[in-house]
Amino acid sequence: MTEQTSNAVKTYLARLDTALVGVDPDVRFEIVSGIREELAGLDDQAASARIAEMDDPALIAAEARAEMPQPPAAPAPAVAEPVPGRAFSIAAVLVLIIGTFVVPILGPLVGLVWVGMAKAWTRREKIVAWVRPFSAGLIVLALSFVASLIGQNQPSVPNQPTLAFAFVAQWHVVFIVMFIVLPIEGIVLLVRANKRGWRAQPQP
Amino acid sequence: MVADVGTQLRKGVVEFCVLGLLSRQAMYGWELSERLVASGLIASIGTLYPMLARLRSQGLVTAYDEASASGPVRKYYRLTAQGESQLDSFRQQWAPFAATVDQLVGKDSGS
Repeated sequence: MTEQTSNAVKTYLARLDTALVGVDPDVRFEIVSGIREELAGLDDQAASARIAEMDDPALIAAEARAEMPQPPAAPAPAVAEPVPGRAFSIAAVLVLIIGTFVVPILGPLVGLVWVGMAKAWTRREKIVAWVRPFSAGLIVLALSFVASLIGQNQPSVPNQPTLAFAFVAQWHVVFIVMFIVLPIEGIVLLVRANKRGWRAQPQP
Repeated sequence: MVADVGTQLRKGVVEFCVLGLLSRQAMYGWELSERLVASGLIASIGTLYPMLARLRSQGLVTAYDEASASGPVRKYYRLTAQGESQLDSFRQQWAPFAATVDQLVGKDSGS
């Protein structure tokens, strides 16, 4: 048997179905079906009277939504926090690298001081940044000193100009090593800080 | 917190009230909704169906279609054995629980 559905019922059910968009499909179907059952077989007048007693579709939908299990709260979108002292950290590492060549001694010294003040590196990295070039210099100096001692033990007649040359050469080697160690150190610091977004600790 | 007491209390017991109603007789959605709305336990039929879906998924309630002689084919809900057991458990706990709360909260001094 085909039942005639009144226009009022059709309209109400359509409004209800639309209002229930986003509600679990099974629940949505059950609600619409449940109300359709209640309105089935009523003529236009009786259906309109019955609908007038019913709740507004928006209210029914709101109640249904409130009853549904809440999805887990989405994590808050990551807000790009300004990196503290990023420009200063970059300047520090550039002064360390370029300063070594442009203003020897003073340039890398300023660079290291700035690296020590910057926020892009951990305390340990800053200590290592200071210790590494000095250690390298001392090691080179010690090696060349040992080499010169071995040279003095050779059965040759030492003369003053040769010793003076050896002394100058030792310090010269130290400077050359500094020209290699300091820029490499600067590049290592730059790469590490850049990987972490110029923060001492990487962002979670 | 105080303004929310009624809502919280209703939420805590309304499912068991549905089980209680269905333990007496199978009922269709609209019928259940009208009883619960009249008792002030739910605001509208929109609250009922998500609850019925939960009770069905927990195996406490089951549904079946039944054609009535005078009316349309309706979906009726009835309690399962598990639902009966759950309701019995609630009944056993409710009286002592309510008595304890009464004792702790005390009587309304204004009445």
